[in-house]
Amino acid sequence: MRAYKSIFKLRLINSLQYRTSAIAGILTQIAFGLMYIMLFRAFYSQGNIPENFTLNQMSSYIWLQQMFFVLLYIGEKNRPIVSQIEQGNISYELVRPLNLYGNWYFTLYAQKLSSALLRFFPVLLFSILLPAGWGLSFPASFPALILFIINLIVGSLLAVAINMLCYCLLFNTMSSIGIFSILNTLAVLFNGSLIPIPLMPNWFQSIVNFLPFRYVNDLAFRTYVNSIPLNEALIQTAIQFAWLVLIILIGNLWMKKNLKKVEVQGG
Amino acid sequence: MIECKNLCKNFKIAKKEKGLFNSIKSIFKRKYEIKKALDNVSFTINDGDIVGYLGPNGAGKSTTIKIMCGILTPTSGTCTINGKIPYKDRTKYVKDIGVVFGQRSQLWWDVPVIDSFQLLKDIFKISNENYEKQLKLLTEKLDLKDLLHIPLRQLSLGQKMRCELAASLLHNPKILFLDEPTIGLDATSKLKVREFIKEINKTLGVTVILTTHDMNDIEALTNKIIIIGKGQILYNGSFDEIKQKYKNNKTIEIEFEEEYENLNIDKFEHIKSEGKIQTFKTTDENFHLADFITELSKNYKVIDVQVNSISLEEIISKMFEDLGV
Amino acid sequence: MLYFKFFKIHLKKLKEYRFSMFLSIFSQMLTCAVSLLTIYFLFDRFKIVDGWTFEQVAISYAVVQFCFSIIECFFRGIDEFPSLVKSGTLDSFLVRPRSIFSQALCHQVEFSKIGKTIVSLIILIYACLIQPFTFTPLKILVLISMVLCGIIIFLSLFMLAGAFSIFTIDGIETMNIFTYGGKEFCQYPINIYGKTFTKIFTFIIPFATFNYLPMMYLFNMPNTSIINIISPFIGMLFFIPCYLIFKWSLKRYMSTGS
Repeated sequence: MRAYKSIFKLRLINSLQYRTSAIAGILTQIAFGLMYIMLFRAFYSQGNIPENFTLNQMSSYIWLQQMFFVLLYIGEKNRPIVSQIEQGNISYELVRPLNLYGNWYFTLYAQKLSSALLRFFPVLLFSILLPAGWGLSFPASFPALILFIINLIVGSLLAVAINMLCYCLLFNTMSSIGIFSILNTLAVLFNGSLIPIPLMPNWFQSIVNFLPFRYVNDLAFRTYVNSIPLNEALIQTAIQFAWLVLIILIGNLWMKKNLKKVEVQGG
Repeated sequence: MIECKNLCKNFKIAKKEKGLFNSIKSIFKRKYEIKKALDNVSFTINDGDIVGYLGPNGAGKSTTIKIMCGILTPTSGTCTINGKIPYKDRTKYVKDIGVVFGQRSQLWWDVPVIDSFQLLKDIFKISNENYEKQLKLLTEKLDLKDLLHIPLRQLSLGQKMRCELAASLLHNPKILFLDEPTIGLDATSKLKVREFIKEINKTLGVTVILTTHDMNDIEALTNKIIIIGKGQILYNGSFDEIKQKYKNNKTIEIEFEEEYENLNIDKFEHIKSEGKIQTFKTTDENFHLADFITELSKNYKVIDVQVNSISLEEIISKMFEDLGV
Repeated sequence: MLYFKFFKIHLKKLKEYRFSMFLSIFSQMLTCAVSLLTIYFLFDRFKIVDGWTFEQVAISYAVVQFCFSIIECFFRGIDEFPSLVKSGTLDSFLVRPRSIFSQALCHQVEFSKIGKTIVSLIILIYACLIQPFTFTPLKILVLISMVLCGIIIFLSLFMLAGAFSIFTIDGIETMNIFTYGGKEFCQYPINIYGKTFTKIFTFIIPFATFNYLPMMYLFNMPNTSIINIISPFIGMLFFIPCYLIFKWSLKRYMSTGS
């Protein structure tokens, strides 16, 4: 665990070095948040608003999305890891006393967490100061807040687990070009990053519910804004956990298989 | 002719803070300091010279080169090269010069070298006739025939450098700037590069200005050196003069039969001791080896003596010491 | 022309990496199609926004995607100018007898983005065909001028970002708000965002001139005038101040270094 702690600390200091890029990230998140809210407000003024997704819920949902954008992003490319795989240069990693899957998983997670921590607070501050219908409202209830935090943590772990599958796939394709952006495109479509899931047509919502992507972010946000009743959210949290365990398991097995191949070929 | 007069260049530099707390603080506030990269630098370089421009890292070497290439404008002072001011009329001026930055390529990574050359021909608007002539000459002199049709990324460092040199000379410039041309090259490639530089200087009359950390480059190539430190010219003159001045600096390595403590020999400075081997330094003009050994054997049991002339590298670092850099 | 000489070089690079290029192109096509799908979803529920229909919004979507992808694909160097400054490539540009702007334009071609160009062009043509009226020659002309205007405005914004990067290298992502953010923003006729933003993006950054102003003419909206027809040409003038700022920033680069 100590090793993971120092991975994280290194990451945090590293990302603090890029001070202006942190500010730029915050400004970008705020600008995009405002733009999306203006856009959806324009549509909302036509009527036919879903019952479980009012104007207030919508604006809160958008701000949560912006706040945790980096934390819940799927499909980011970690250059050092990618080039290690592409160049078949992972022997160094294998001599370290760490499980390779765990090591990469935590490197990716630490990277996410460190840049997310910097960005989340200013966006939070900005969005709660906005008037209702434009900004972030308080959570529906205390239990909703607790469940939201659980969903958020599990969701972020799930995001990295899904991402790890891409690195596993990389062992087979040996070229990272295209893979990560295809994953990201599919993820943002199916997890409501482009338009919130309650605004999608019903037939598409039922597809989305079958896939793991919405458990990364949509579940947490909808718990927060009370778009899903608490008892239903509890059931979905169980599903979220199941997805997390399943995908980590698949990733681990896949990685083991890949490494066997590497050992045979000599990495 | 290159003439630099009272060149000064100041940079404003942001301070980098260390530690978690300070880096958070520096998000909101930044401190700056003014750094004088060049402080009243003047020198003249004649046509046809090969000049070594030396100095430790951060002394102002690349700033001067950048000014002479037209990339930077000096804070004050003037630089005139063949009657033109580099930073005033950049696009006209740069046709007269060739530049090789040792660490950076001017060729295209993924395509065969010859295609890069063709493109440079178009960029520099070289006529077909001149291009063919120059390409033939350079291919011959640099032995490029087999390299031209290979993508740059597949070439070794030495081969790449040869191609870079050719690329910088395609438009037949009068002045060639070489920034660390031999960095990272193996011994044979270094020799090839040096030979070529000498040759084009002789046959084409190209003035060459090079920066390097490799003293063998200097020894093999230059007839004149300029040494810069802390933004000021420390030395400007012939290379032989320096050699002459420090010629008498010698180190003497003596192996004794047993270990001695507190060895004191007249006129000699004790600089190193490794068990039975002791090293001394002298600047005595009248130093005579035979006398020295006789004198020494009277008091000590000597097994072996080795005399080394001071190397150029040491001369330069000695100069920096003497000048207080 | 210099650009085509460079283009030949970039084409040669393409041959070296064929498979991964194919995958990238596919991924770009997918991204472009997925964004349109989400717009379709919104119209499926709400039918209309501020008087604009899905068929009409498809036009503004396709125009902005097409313009932006043209720059990302064929003039990638200007888009990546900040990284050229960072890596020192700008120094190599400066020792060549050509203008920095033209060298930046030529510097890189990113063929994978052609996926987006193709899909957005298909969407544009399709969107023109599904309109309930036929396009008159003048309307086609206006549409073409919209595309040109869009390209020029985004080119200008990237130039501004490039100029900005010379002053501070690490704050450059802020400029993405206007370039990449602008691309997102202009997918819809921008007057749906309310009066204030419409004004800002008409008079300060003239997105409106290739977006809702000429679109009002295309779709026979009431209260249009000659301004709506020629607005793309007015928008192109945005290039001039941006180019001057870019030139000025290069002067500054030459006096401060990287």
